[in-house]
Amino acid sequence: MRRKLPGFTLVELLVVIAIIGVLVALLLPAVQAAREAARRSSCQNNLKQIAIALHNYHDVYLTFPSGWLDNPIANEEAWGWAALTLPFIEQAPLHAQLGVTKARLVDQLRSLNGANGPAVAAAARTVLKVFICPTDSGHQGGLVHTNRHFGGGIGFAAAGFTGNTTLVGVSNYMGVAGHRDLANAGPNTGILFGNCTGDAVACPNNATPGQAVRLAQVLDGTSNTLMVGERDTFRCRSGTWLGVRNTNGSNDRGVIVVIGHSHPKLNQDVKVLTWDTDRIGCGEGFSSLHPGGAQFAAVDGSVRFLSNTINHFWFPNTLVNGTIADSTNPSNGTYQRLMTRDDGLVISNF
Amino acid sequence: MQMLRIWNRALAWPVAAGIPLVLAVAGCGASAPANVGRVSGQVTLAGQPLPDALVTFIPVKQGGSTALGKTDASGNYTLNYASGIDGAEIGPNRVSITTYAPANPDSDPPRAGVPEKVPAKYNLKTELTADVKAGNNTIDFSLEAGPVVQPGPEPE
Repeated sequence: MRRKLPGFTLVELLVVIAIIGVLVALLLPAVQAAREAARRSSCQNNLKQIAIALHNYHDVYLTFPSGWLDNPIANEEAWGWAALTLPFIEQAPLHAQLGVTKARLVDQLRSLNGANGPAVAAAARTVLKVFICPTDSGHQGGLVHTNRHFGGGIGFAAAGFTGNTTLVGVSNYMGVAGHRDLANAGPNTGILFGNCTGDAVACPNNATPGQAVRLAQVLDGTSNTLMVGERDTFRCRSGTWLGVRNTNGSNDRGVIVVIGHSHPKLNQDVKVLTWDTDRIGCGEGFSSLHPGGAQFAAVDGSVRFLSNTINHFWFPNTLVNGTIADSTNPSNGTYQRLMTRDDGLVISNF
Repeated sequence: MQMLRIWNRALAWPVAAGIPLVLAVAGCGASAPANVGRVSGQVTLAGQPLPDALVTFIPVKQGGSTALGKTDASGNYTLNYASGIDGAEIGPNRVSITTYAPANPDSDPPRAGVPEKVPAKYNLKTELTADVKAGNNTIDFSLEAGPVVQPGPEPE
């Protein structure tokens, strides 16, 4: 007589193992995606905080900060919009220690007001989490250095920091400077922009110089205009919260460490164009390591995720029929329209 | 035991057969949008391959996106529509080909400018057009020598 044995067959065991295998295979990438989703949320939160800080700045000074405080002399460091905003992200002590708006950045570093240059340079290396997107993996523990940042800056050199030793705190959040690429040259069509030419003495110390933008100047509507966006350090060299080295240097390229403009494609593929390809490399625009796109804070304070495939149309500068890329050109893409505050062009779904 | 055997026959094989299917579906990557055709080709200037030239496809149709590519040492280019998506907008495109790059002393390391080598009728006053079709396109450009215009400084 057959005795019933408790147990299971080999096939049943194999099926169970296979099912567990499939579940693990499905779950493992999902766990990684969950981590990225968490980093993205944190990144999004930073953008929201920065947008609120900019609005609080507007409440006090009745204007958004200037993108950078202009300085007519090449290689003289100047404060950027994020440094101006420090008191509104609970960094008032750092703001005071650096002496933002009390004196020009280059003068603080040169210690014209006392021998505190190295102390200011050290404070410039403060790692501020609100300016770091956790997805970005390219910076050195919250610090960056490249020639595009402060190597060769007059003030840092005077404070004893030259070349690659000139490290400053990273920022993954770049102000939207509008449609024009040569930030210092054209009219301000964005939100965070500089240019105080004609007021060279007052401008560097003044918190609200020439081309700072008021909410009333956001003619396209605050929901249809972007204010701050992401740039990663890993591929596109991001920037810093501190300021700029070369506002009026040749080609005015120095300012792109605090702002970005609308000509480079979102997440421009660095296999196609290197990050520093003039005017259209991602080092002058916006990018992120989030899959598929990057996040932006609109002027209304909302944070949006824009896809890489967002309609991007721009006239190659001075290329097609010699036409300069005009911010009000009806051919401009959705991405370009979102970055200009006064183009008067309709924005369809994006 | 009898129940288990039934389970075995009825479910195990469909489940086992489904595993590769699930893996195959999970393995699918992002595909290009329907309005994009892959474009690559070679650029020659007066018979010689043209390296380091920026090839821009500008869709004639409103609402299209510009596509960019850079030629390699043998003059070959592949257009890029958006990050990770190769190609250009399907339909007629205006094409600009230029080698010009301004000097950039603020780059890392600082860079000297690159003069324009391509005649103006291919960039500043381009007459080049290309029709992009769905699927793979090979579009070669045989440029003729002609008067070259160096782009001036940026207008203020």
